[in-house]
Amino acid sequence: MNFLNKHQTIIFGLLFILGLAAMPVASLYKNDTEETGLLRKVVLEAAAPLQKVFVGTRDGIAGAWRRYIFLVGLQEENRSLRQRIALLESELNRTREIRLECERLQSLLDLKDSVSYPVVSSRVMLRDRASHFRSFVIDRGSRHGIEIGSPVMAAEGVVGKVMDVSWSVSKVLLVNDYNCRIDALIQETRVRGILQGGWGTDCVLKYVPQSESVREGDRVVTSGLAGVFPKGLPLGTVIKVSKSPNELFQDIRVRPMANVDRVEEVLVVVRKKQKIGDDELDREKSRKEEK
Amino acid sequence: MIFFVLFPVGALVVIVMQVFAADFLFGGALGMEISLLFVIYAGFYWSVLRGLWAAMVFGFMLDTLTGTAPFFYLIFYVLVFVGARLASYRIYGEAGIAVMAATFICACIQAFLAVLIGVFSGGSFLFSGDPGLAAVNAAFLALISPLLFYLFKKIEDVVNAQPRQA
Repeated sequence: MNFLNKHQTIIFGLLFILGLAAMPVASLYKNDTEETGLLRKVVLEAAAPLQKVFVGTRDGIAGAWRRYIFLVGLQEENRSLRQRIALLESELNRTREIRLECERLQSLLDLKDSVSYPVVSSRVMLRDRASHFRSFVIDRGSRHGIEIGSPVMAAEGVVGKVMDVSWSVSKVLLVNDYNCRIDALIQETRVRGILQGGWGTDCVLKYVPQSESVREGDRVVTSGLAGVFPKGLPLGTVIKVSKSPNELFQDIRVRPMANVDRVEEVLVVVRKKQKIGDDELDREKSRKEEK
Repeated sequence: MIFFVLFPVGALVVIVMQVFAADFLFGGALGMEISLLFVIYAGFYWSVLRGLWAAMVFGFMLDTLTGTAPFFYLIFYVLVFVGARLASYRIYGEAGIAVMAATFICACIQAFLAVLIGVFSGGSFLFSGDPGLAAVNAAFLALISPLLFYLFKKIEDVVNAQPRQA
C-alpha cells in the first residue's frame, strides 16, 4: 500500500499509456456475428422503461408547449377566444401529427407489402444525434425475431443493421457510421463497392476502380452478395465523384436515401425466415455441420 | 458497498436523461455529455476505487446504448479518470478555469480518438460526426462544466449528509 501511495503518479501514468494503447487494439476487436453479452442485454433492457418515461415526458412537454405556453400573457378579454383557438390549434396539431404518422406508417406498410421477406416494424427510442457514433435503440428485440445483423429499413431505403440485441430492445448501427460496411453496387452500371459511413451524414463508396464509370446521381443499392442484406434495397445516391491519377480507387460520396437522423419508425428484416437465397442457407447449414 | 450497487442505476438514469435532454433542448445540434463531466469530477475528488468504478460503469453503459466502436467509451472514460487524477495532484480542482480547460481538452481528445479509431478500423480518414460540431460541443461542455461541478458537489453533500470540507 505504501508502495502504491509512493509511486501513484508513475502507476497512473502507466495505466494512462496502457489505456491509450488498448483503444485502437479494442477497435480491431469486432465480430458482427457475436451474440450480445448478458450485461449489455441487461443494460439495454433496463434502459427501455426509462426511455419510455422520457419519450412520454418529452412528448407531453412538447404538446403542452404547443397547446398552452403561447397563451400566457394574453389579455383577459381575449382569453376565451384564444383558448378556443388554442384548443382548435392543438386539435389541428394532433390531427396533423396523426396524419403525418399515418403517412409514415402507410409508406412503411407499402414497403412491407412490397418486400418478400418477413419484417418487424418498430419505433426509434433512444438516439444520440450529437454523438461521434451513429446508432439508435429500437423497441423490438430477440423476442420479436430480431438477430444481430438484421437489416433495418425505412420507407426510403436502408437505415442500417442491428448490432446488439436484447430480449425486447435492439441497437441499430446506422448506415452513415464508419463502423458500418455494406456490400453495394451502382444500380445502373452494376459496379460493386463497399459502402461505409463517414463524413457527417454521408457515406463513402469504397474500392471502385478508376476505370469504372460512376456519375453523380447514380443510385446505390445493396448487392446481396455478403448475405446480410437482400439484393436491390436502395442505399443512397452518388453526390460526388473524384478521380485522382495517383489513387487506385475513386473517391465516391453517397448520400443515404433514408434520412437516418430523422427516421421515427423502421422495419427490421427478420433474417431467419428471410429468402436471401438458397445458397446462403446452404452455406449456413454446411457451416453448422462443420462445427 | 451500497455505492457500488446503486451507482449503475443512477448512471443509467443520467445517460438516458442526458441523451433525451440534448435531443429535446438542442435537437441533436449539441450534446450534453454530463457523464464525461462526472468522470472528470470523480478524477478530481473521488477515491481511486470509486472513481474507476464510476468511469467504467459510465463507459460501459454509453458503449452499450450509443457507441458503435467496441469499448471506446469504457477505455476513454478510464483514461479521463486517470488523466484527471494525475492533473489533480498539480491543479487546484476548485478553479473554474481549470475545470473548463480540463473539460474542453477531454472533449476534444474524445473527438480526436473517434477519428483515430476510424483510421484504424476503416483504413481511411473517416469520421461519422461533424468535426466542427465536435469543437462546438467541447466548448459548450466546457462552458457549463463549472456549474455542473458545483451541482455535483451539492448533490454529493446531500447524499453524504455532511458539510463538505474546504
